[in-house]
Amino acid sequence: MKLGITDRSRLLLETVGIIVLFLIPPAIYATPYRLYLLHILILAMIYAVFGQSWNILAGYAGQVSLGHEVLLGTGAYASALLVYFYHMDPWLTLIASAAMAIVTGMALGAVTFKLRGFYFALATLAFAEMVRLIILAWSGVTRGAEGVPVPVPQPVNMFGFIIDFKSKFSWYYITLVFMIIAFYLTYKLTRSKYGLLFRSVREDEDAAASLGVNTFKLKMLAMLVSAAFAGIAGGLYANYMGYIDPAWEAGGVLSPFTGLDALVIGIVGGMGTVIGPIIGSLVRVGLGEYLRAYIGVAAGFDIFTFGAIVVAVVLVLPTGIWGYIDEKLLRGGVG
Amino acid sequence: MLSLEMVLALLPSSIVYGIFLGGLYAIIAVGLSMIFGVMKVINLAHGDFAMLGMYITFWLLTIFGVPPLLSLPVSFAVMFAVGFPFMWLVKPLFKRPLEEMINSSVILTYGASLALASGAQMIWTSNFRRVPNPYWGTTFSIGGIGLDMGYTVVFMFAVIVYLMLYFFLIRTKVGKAIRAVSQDPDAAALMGIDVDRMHTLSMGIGLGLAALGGSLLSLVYYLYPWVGEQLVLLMFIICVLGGLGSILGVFYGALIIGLAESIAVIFIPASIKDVVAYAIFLGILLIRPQGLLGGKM
Amino acid sequence: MILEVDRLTKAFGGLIAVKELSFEVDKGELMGMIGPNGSGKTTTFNCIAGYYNPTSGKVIFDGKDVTRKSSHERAKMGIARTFQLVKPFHNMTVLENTMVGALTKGASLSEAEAKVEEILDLVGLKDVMKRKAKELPLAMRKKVELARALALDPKLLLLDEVVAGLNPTEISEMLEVIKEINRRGVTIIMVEHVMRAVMSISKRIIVLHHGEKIAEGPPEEIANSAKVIEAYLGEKYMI
Repeated sequence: MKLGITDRSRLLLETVGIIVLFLIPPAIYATPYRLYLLHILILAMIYAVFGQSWNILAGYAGQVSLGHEVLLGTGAYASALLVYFYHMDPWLTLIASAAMAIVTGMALGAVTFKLRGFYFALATLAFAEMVRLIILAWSGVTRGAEGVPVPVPQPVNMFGFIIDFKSKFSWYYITLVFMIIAFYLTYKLTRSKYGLLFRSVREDEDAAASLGVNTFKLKMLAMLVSAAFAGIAGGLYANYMGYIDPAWEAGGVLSPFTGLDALVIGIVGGMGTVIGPIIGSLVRVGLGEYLRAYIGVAAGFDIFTFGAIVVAVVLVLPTGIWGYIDEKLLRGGVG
Repeated sequence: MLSLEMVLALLPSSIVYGIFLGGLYAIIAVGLSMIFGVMKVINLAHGDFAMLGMYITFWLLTIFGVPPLLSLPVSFAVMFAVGFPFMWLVKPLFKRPLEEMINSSVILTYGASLALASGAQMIWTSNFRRVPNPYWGTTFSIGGIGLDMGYTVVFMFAVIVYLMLYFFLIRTKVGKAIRAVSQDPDAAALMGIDVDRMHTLSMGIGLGLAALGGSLLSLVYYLYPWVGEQLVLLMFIICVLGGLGSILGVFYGALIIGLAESIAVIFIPASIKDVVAYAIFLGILLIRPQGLLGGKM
Repeated sequence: MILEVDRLTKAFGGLIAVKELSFEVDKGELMGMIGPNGSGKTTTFNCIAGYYNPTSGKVIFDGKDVTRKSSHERAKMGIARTFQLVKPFHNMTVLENTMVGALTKGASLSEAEAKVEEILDLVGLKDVMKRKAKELPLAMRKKVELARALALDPKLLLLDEVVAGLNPTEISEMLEVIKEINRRGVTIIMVEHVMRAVMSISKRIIVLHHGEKIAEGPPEEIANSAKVIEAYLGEKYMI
């Protein structure tokens, strides 16, 4: 069965989708689980931005990074340290988050973009772990293993709305707006000239270069956008959670497991599709929370499941959930 | 600050320790290099097979009272057998174009690695455990250099196993067939070599060696479910330094990393000693993307 | 003269793949380059296109020394190529494949799309332009590579075994397209293992053996050269 989809119906679908997202908080206001549900959705949206960031670099430009946590983590640290030591406005620190992640990303790119395929993947792993260890050891600046507490910001008055950062409802709309902006920019980027050139680099770097594509520059461009997204996601995460640390274990902003989350979100949702990361992140955060909270047969069961899901997706559904829907049902019309 | 005298006083035992550590790393890493050399599969779950080897030694000792060194062949045999189902998992990827196959193997084995480590966590909990053995923490000295008994024993066994592997690959018919497949699978197939069988065999040997290395590691190091995740990157660094696919190169790579780490802890806290290995790795990749001794096995 | 290769040498470790090779190509020429397996044809191409840095010697293109330029810079200057092992962008449509070259030359998406339509028509891929490259048979994938190279508006086109693996009908079709491209003013160097294909369309042929030039001249002369026959002796594809 092929549905085929026109631009107009797609626009309609997207508008409806966005309206639904805006209406979720009032809709669940009456349930006793509202704070818990909102918490999960907020995390899912922050992770969706992070997953999209990975997707731009890996899914579109073909640079499969296994150390993507380094961008989220340095972004989170930039914001957290500025808020903690200098009591800066969290909004302003998000700019620092993006800037810090971009600087990190450029350094990462300069070191690794001459490498191909798995050499690149291994180098990103090593780079990210090296940065984590440096942040851990440099306790004079980063507070080391103690981590950084991020105090809740003062309420802000924005166009007459009072945004209270203690409220999950405020956070829901903040992250929603960021996510919509990030996805819109991704859509625009991937449909532009650069999106096409990214894909040519992903498909074959030698062939792309033979057609005049400056592959190093293009990869750096993808890194720039990717890092900005990941950095902002990190800044939001630090301020929302109120505490970050450089632990290796799952949950740390610089933990390799955080990098893995980006990978799971991108691969399960569908690499190289704009919608994929939302689906991937709902699966990752939603299913992860479900497994942890309700089927907690033993510690580690959630990660076990995600490991198995990644294996299964690579073997059975190499284009991911949205990739499959897009290819089989919508004839590649949406992406 | 350290004085030069202190550094010089610490150096000799650091160097010996580094060489011993390198020998141990080499055993775990060599299977990784072989699997890549023969099949072009990047096995990110390799460290987890070493982890399983550690637990095999642990269980054999605590349940059946088997002395740790006798568990080495068992570790090897069990994970050799696990090579068959693991191969079944990886094999569908061989139908994809080479570059895509390598990328998917990275992701697939990463997933497998997490499943193995968290599976181990479900069975053994995330507690740090120790395999009680007479060598742990015992020291002796030769010519004024203090040596750790555990690492000395481990190194001796590592060298023996390495020589056996080398002999197997160079002298035996099957070993030659495996090398032929790693150099040119098409030509090997034309010569009547059963390429599929060699793939499975090298997968089994690779995983078996990882587990054997893990069993050795358990004589001198704590075991916990995620130890494999911490090992695997180091093992890859060693392989890349030695030239992925090269058997002798792995040994040199392992010595470089073993020495770098053991000397680094004179100057920096042990908790961040891996920084040195990562920095060497990134530095060398920048200069020579094909590894230090890029070559064939 | 559009291309001058001057004492080009390329060594890989101890192995010398191309040795002191010199030749010139005139504007508008269609030159063939043949030689047995491993004679250094593809290495020569890779040095001209910038994929390898030569060990020594010079590559002068359109009056400029490009020896140290990277491949994307050379592509923009007008050197286009195809690959011996076809490398189309598999998960992109034929149209998208072809647009890349136009985009790097500065065209916008819509300009590029308009521009490549004519190219797709020329090589005969217009009917399949919305299909992904990986779905096409070999002959068409080879044409995708050709179309993609043409979108650069190249002055010099390097064709690496563009008819290898094709059946006789496909070969003659491909040769027609190549002749037409050449007629429109693009200088072409054609590397082939199959001698007959090159013999039929080029005016001048150079023969490589063990990385050295052993003969140069019109096809008839080459076909009767004792040196060339000797070089090919024992080769399967002698015809």
